[in-house]
Order: sequence, then C-alpha cells, then structure tokens
Amino acid sequence: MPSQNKSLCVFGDSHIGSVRKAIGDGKVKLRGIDVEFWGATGENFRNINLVDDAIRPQSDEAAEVLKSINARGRLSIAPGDFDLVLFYGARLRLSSFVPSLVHHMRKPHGYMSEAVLRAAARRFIGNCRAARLAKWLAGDGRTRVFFAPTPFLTWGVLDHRQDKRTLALYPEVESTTAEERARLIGALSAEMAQDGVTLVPQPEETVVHGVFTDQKYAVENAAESGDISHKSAEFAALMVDSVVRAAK
Amino acid sequence: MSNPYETLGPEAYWRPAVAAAGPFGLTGLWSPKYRVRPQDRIVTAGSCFAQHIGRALSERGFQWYDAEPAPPFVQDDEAWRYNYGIFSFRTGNIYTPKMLLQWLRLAFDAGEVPDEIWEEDGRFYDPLRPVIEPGGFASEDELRAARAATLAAIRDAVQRAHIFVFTLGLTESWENSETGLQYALCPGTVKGARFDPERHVFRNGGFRSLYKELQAALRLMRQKNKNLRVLLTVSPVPLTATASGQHVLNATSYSKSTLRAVAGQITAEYRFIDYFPSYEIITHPVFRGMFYGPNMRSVEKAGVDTVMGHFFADQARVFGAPKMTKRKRKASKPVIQDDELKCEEELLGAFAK
Repeated sequence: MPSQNKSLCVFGDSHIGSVRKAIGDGKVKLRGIDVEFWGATGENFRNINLVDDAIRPQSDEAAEVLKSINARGRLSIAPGDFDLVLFYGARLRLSSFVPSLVHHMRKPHGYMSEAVLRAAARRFIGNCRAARLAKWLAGDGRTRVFFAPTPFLTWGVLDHRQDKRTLALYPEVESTTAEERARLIGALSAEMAQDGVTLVPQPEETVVHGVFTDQKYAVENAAESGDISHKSAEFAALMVDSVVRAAK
Repeated sequence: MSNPYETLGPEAYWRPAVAAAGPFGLTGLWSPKYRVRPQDRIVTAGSCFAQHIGRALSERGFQWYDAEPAPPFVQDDEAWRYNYGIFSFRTGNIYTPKMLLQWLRLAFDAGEVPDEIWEEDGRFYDPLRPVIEPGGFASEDELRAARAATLAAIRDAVQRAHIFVFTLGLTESWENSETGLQYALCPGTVKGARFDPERHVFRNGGFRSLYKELQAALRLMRQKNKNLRVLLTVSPVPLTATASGQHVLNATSYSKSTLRAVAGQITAEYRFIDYFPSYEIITHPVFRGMFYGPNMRSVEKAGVDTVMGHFFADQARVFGAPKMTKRKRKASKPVIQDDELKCEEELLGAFAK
C-alpha cells in the first residue's frame, strides 16, 4: 500500500549534512513526511543541472556522489516526483547579499526604492543556478518548493575584521538592524514568491552582530577547522521545522 | 599698410581652415582654457548628449565620476532602466539652466524651490524627474527618500569634482504658473500629472533669463567648490517637439542659437568656465549632416567619436599628451549602450501626429 505521507526532498550542497544530522538525531519532528536527500558538494554540485525534462547530474562523478547521498539511488528530480522540495544552502548566500546592500544603503546616496531593491534581489537570485532550478521545479505547481539560503557566516570563530572578510570590507554592517535585514530578505522572499518558491528565512534569534550567525550554531569543531560557513544540526532543525510547519 | 589680419594664423581664415581642410581635416577647433588630466574627477550632467561625453571620457581612461552608483546586483540593463550610471547623479536629463539651478538649490539648501509631488493611480512621481523610476514610487516618503539620496550625490559630485561638464539642451520648458517650479517634462506627456492649462504654462527662455539662471547655478557650484572648473557644451540634438507655435526646425534654431550665445557669453566672462564646440562639430554645414541618423535628429557613433577626437586632440595640442597612469580601481563607466541614450524628451515623440 503506498505511503500516505508527504514526500520531501532536501536538495543542496554540503549544507544538507546538517539537516541529515538533525533528522538522524531526532532534533526535528517529521511526522507524516518521508525524507530523501539529494545533492553533492563542490564541483559535483555545479555538475547538477537541468537536462531535458529533469534535474540530473552532468558528470559520472556527480552521479556517483548522488547515489551515495540518496538512499534510493535516485539520479533525477522532476516536477511531481516529490510533494515538497527544500533547496538547502545551495550557493544562495545571505552573506553575499545582505552585507553589500547594507553597506550601500548606509551611504548618503544609498537609498533604494522598493523597485530598485527588488531588481537587486531579482539579479541576485537569477545569478544562482540552484534558484533557477527551484523556479523550474515549482513551475507546474505539482511540487511545493522551499529555499533556505546559506545562512550568515558564524560569529566568533574567526576575526571578521581580518583579511578581506566581511567587516574588513564593510565595517558598518555589524550594526545592521532587524528592520534592515527584514527589508532585504523580504525582497528576496518576494522575488522568489514570484517564481513560486517559498523562501525560508534564517530565524532572527540566530542572528548576531548584524549579519552573522550566533556562535552557538557553529558546526561541530568549527574552532579547530575555522569553518564559518556550515552550521550545527540544531540550526538545521530550526530551519526544517519552519518548513514542516509551512508545509502543513 | 599693415592690418590686424596679417598676423593671424590659418585657423582664422575660412579657405585654409575649413574649405581646404574639409570635414575630416579640421584642426584646432577648440583652444581649451585648462588641462583635463586623467586623474581629474569629471562630473557630467545636462541634456542627452552629455551621456556620450561621460562614456567617451571613461573609455579613454579618464575618471568619469559616478556619485550615485547603482546598488550591488543592479547591473547593466537594470541599472540603465532605473537611470543609474547615465549621468553622475540620478537626476535624469537636465535640459535647462533653471532645472540645474533648482537641483543645486535643493541640494545645498540655497534658495526656495517650490515643493510639488505628482500622484497618479496610487503611484508617486517626482516632477523634477518623472521617469526616473519606471512605474513611479510606491509612496511620497519613498520619493522623498530617493530624492534626498540624489541630492546627497549632487553635493558630493559638486564638492569633489575637478571638472563639471554641463550640456545645455533646451530653452523650452513648462512651469507651474503659481509657484514657478519648472518641470523636467510637460505634465501630461508622462505619467504622474494631467495637463492643466491654468496651472501649467509654457516658457521659452530668452537670453537674459537663461544667462542669469546659468550664472546663478555656476556661481552656486563655485561657492561650494572654489577650484571647480566648468565645461559647457550645447546639445546638437534637435527638439523632438516644440510648443512655441513655430515650426520645429525654426524653434530648434532659436533654442540652440540662444543656448550657444549664453554659453559663449558666460565663457567669455569667467575664467573657470570653458566651452567645447561639440555642437558645431555635429551641426555645422561643413559636416553636411553626416553625423545624424536617418531621422536627422539622433547623433550617430561616428559623430560622437569625431567630437571626442577633437576634444582629446585639442587637449594634446595645447597641453601635450596626457600621462595615463594605472589606477588601482577601475573608473566608473556609464552603463549606456550606443542605441540606448536616455532622452526623456523622446517621450514627446509619442505625441507626434
């Protein structure tokens, strides 16, 4: 007898590891939802693309990685294959979008009308291959598509004022306000909604110092590895939980 | 018996300087008052033709100064659509001296400029630049915030510029009959305001008024930047339409010759102001109209190249070739395409019978 559960595919790059851990550790309740993972890291992620009528790997190596990540050996995703697809991370980086725009907005000439901001958001999304795939997947309405962008970089692991890091380039963004974040991420959300995709915003309680993620959500061993990008299973649980709530 | 003509160079005589030289042999059309150095910050504003000058300067490695750059991710066609990177600040075309004066007074809080906002179908339009945002602004607050940003950019541009290039475009304009506010475009030709014959009056500026307005604008800029130098040009682009009651050809002739006279007079009176004869290079009979497109209005790339060729050649003739140095940062570059000049006056063409 076929499952009455909803099917969810978590699709992304290395960030989906934290989602797998969150689910595996029971940090998020997925009652009534069957989950599959699909994605790859690095070069292999770049080799996943729209081919004919489905999202597929474009190299043998990427196909091998997909087989190792997806328990069913699935090699393609098309509209209707899942009830829900969550693009997770997938190179749509809040840390690229928000700080540079806050830096611009803080200049005397930096005011952006809503239309201009939306144009910026549209271009940012359009530059991201995964966002284009999400739009395509959502296109015929059979699959509900969510997108959780790569969260802000983690605070407290490295000095963000050093080298060419965020605060070295844009020192003033440390004081980014909740209103500023809401306006910018709201523009992303509105543009994605036009594509039929639901943006999953980073929870406000996880944001510190304007445009960073609280150190308590750092990936395991971040201090040793210097990894300011990946986050913990607790963080992923918050994100997936909001998708589950929205999906109901 | 000697006379003053005996000692003049060949450039003073029509036959060698023009007739024998032909359109591509003309030299020495401009004797610049000051050197334009590669490191000079050059601000451009004014009528459509100023857009060409900004782009040509930056293509040659000069520092065209973009005081109001587009936000990150707003690039190319989108930047152009929202009027970023076209002039040094986001005013759109400034066709008349009074419009320039109004913008400067607002920017420096230096005199009364009547307040007026246009609203239509729930969208808000700035009468000083009604087509700056396609579809207008979402609210009056948004309009005012966007205008404040542009005024900040004007302050920055005027105070930091070494050279301010202003292209005079039109003598004809429309004003509010009660307040005197001059509009960028005739109400009713663009979205935002319906034309009201009681409130909206036509004005065709004469020499005296245009001179005074330009003088006031340039003096104000000079007050804010005592080292600022100004380079005036007159747009060679004919009027798209006239409300003067004259034939548009005659109205163009009046408009351009009056602006040319104003530019000539003010250049003669002030050392910091120079005039560059781009108007003559495009319009003079010696060129037989060859630089105009088939509509005899648009200036083609060959014309712009010829104009700028004279600009750089005459700079080099008087001051020597510029020493181009490698810059750490890439100079700003206007985003316009060859066939995409932002000429709001073109909108009037839609009303042509």
